[in-house]
Amino acid sequence: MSRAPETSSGIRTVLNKAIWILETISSAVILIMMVVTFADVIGRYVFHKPIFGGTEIVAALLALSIFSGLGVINARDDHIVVELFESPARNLVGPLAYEVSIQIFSVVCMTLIAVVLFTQALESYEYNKLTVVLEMPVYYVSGVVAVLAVISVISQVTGVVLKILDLRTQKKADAL
Amino acid sequence: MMTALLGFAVLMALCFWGFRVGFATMMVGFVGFGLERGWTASLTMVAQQVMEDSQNYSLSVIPLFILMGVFIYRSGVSTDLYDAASMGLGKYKGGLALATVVACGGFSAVCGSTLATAATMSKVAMPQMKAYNYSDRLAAGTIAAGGTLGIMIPPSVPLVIYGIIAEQDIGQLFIAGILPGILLVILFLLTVVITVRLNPDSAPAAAELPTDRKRAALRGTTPVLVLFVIVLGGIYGGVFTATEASGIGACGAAAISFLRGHLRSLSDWRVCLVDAAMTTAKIFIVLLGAVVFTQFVNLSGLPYDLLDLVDEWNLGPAGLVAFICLIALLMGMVFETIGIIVLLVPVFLPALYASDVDMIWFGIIVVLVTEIGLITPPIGMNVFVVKSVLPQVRLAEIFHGVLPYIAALFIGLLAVYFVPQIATLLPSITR
Repeated sequence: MSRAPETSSGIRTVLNKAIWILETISSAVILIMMVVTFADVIGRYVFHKPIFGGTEIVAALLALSIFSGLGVINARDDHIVVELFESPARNLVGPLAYEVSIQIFSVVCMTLIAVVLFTQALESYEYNKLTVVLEMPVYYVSGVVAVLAVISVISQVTGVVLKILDLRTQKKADAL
Repeated sequence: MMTALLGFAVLMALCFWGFRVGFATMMVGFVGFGLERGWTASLTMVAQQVMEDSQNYSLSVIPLFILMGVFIYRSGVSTDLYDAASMGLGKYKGGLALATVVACGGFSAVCGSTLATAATMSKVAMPQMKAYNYSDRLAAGTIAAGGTLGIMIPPSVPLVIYGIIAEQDIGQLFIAGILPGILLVILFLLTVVITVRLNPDSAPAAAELPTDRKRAALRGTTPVLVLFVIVLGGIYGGVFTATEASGIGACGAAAISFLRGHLRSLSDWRVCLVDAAMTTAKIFIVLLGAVVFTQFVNLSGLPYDLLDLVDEWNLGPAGLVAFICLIALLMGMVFETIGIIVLLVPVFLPALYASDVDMIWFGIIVVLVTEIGLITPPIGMNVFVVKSVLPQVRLAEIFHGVLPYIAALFIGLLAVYFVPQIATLLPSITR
């Protein structure tokens, strides 16, 4: 009888750890982005030596920051929403069915993003595409971004499962 | 045209139901494109758009300006800004409300976020105004409206997003936002004066600030002013691009925060960086969804059908912009700023270009209209933010309180619409 809450708390712990790691990655990336941009300007004006490939580095960091942050946003379901009719819609179909419909849609869309990113990464690997300035293999970035997108889907699904478990527990408590 | 309109209708229905805006726009764009061109083409399109835009160097200005705002937000500088504004104005009737407007303007000049400005000023200005028996309506209304200044006074994230969609120089847009921003501050100040004239009991005069607090306020405000001048001056003088300015601004804001006793531990840094990274991710999923949706809309031919329609109706540039403003105003009642810009602007781009509309001026107009949407019911984000920080104030009171400011924003909008030089004068000097 008590296995369900135990499982749920186990999943929650793993999810919280995953969120912490993703948050750390995204914050480190954004910090490096700030330092590189700053150093590039200072290097150019003070030492007449901007950072070689600075714009490419910043562009790559931007993608990493977005997709690591997206993992957290997905896990917490902290997206931008139009809340005007949310409450009546929820009442119309019931909280559980409403939540399931919303979350399945989000998961499908995020899976689509992950799939297309993986395809892109594979393509750039097969064709051995290189970046223009640094001549770095494109799949380095697109591959990591694709992996982050997959992690994002996993964290999203985990978040959804927990949300649904919570709603079911609440429903049972309400019934009692 | 019908396909695109159907797409818009489905998108609205999905958003109103509560589907996440970014995912809804992306799915409608993907399915719409797939139905028109086939699924393989649609998958390729999504892949290209997502990869290109998430690695677009120009877009890195967004996280860096957000980071600058977060550092400033958490540095506690808002109290000094408010005290500095109160020094000259507090002793007059309604003076604290006037100071709130000035402090909101000053804070948003380095913060760039309307919601952060409203939330911060709710905490800083409301206790002061309550201590002097200001009416809730005036106090909370002023804070909610003052917060909207954040998206007009540069650096402004909505202006960056507009610049990227409309392929306009972000630096020029920032410069263009300065005079309209000042105009709005003046209009808001006049609104306070008129409101207090009509109801003198709503805002009694406050006591003079002690000298040590005045000195501390001036000391605290100076670095913020310097940072603003460096960021904007650097762009204005062509010393660095908007993206580079955002990096300089974020580093400067971190330095200010550090000197004020913040960012002294790893956890302090982590909180700020995570905050900025999460806001970035939230904005980008909407942006990525919108670029996918735009591909579908472009494929459907809607922008060119609209171009024909504009010709047929003989709208002219001014009529076209007025028509877009009307749509944006309606959207503003439900959608938040970025959603409006990313959905509306691409659709009308060909018509705007063909009508020879000054796109810098149009950018300022669009942002001004979305600014109105931040305080108009039923979804006035700034009003909700103030309500969440001040739960004791009734929502209806705050909505009542912002009414005069909505009128002021409309006057500002009309002024910029009929006198485009308010927006175009400064950029024309730098060109």
